[in-house]
Amino acid sequence: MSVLPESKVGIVGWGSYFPIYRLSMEEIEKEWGFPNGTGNGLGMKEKAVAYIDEDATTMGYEAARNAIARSEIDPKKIGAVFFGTESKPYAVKPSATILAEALGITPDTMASDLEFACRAGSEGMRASIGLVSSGMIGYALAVGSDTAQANPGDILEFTASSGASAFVIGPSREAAAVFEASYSYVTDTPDFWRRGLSPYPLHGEAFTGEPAYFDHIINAVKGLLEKTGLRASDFDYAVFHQPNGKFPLKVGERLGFPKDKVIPGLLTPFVGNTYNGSALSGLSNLLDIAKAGSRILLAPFGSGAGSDAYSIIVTDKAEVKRSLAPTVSYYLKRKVNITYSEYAKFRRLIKKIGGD
Amino acid sequence: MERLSISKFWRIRKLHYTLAYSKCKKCGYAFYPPKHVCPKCGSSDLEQRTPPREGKLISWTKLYEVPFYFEDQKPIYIGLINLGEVNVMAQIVDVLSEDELREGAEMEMVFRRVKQDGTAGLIYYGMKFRPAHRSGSSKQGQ
Ligand SMILES: [Zn+2]
Repeated sequence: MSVLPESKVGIVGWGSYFPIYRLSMEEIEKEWGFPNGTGNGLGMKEKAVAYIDEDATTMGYEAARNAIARSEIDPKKIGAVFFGTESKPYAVKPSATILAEALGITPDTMASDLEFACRAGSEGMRASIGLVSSGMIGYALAVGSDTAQANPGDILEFTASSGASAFVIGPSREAAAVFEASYSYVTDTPDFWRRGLSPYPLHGEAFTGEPAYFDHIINAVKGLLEKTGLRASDFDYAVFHQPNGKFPLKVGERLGFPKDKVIPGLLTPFVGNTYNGSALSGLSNLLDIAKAGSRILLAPFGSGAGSDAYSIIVTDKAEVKRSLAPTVSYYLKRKVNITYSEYAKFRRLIKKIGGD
Repeated sequence: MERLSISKFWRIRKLHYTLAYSKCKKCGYAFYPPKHVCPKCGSSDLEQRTPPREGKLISWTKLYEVPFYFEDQKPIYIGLINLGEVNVMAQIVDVLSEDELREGAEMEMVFRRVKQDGTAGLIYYGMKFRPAHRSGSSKQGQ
């Protein structure tokens, strides 16, 4: 394989954040009259729920703070902030500037919010690779964060959840994991969308699986393998977008990645689908646990539709950086279960008239 | 409903985002929120400092009567937290049990929504605190 620009850069810091509240599948089943076991059938145990005072921006901040702590760099050295979300607190006004200001990165930086359903954070990561490898900037911050919305009673409500992950992209010599190659695959596919003033997204039922999730991830991964000459067996772990607990295992099987390579990066059963935080949090968890030299396949997916495939190799710097911020496992363990009515209040499905 | 002042918040946003405080270069008194003159000696020779993100709980109270923008969060916990040179008063969130609120408990800053101006106005962000449980943050797997 020829030397690709990707190999000049890597992940110098990573971090995640999940709110402490969890809603069990039984609570949703009881509330909306689904048969017992509907959630488990999706491979789900419970989902993370953001509190009333949390949103995609606040969770993105927490994940980014952890990533910057592990990067051990002065935030002022970050030259781009990309914020990937589909649950922007403002329709117009960047969250990226709020993050950049609160994290001490402003004013000498690029900053923008990206939207591509669940894949915007990943596009931010690939754009960061380009900017850093070209030498235009020294470091970039790519964040994926969502308080995913679901129409109450819709099947999406079992999985749509809250969480965030962030990565400081910088020179490979400082990296906890280096990029080896990347490849993107996008088409115009209407599997899932939300119009401007609709509070909840709609999905094209039969459209969401085969022509969207599976087709795009499979083509992105195949494109990456073709580009690099690598085979599935060359990878120690594979992380795919995780809309539920089942799809990642299925797509892995089709691409030749056995279950035991997919499960360590599969977080959806415990926290739900955190959309832009989904595959990226799986990667974050692997950086918390993988041995130096491990090769990771990362393949986020976003409706609309597209997928990126990355080959990433963990370095010996990962182990030292792990203790510099809370791990994914810390957030998974620190939790408390809530009722459906608390969930409805926290996510503003019910509101007091005259309240805020 | 009262309208919040955009310019007033914007001018002091760094203070909300970092809880920066003032320290008097003449008498050494440190205070939050920052002011233009030292409340102890009247000197205007002050420097702005950023406190550590972690601190210790001094005392706390639980409020059932709250301003309108906390209506949907009540009851709320308000704590006095020591951040080295200064003490700050702030909301404590993510309290799993009141056992976590003993005197001297480790607290850490969290970035949250503090207020919002109705459904169409600005959202104001700032720092709150939560109990910190950082020991063994490098534990493996789940
Ligand atoms: Zn003084």
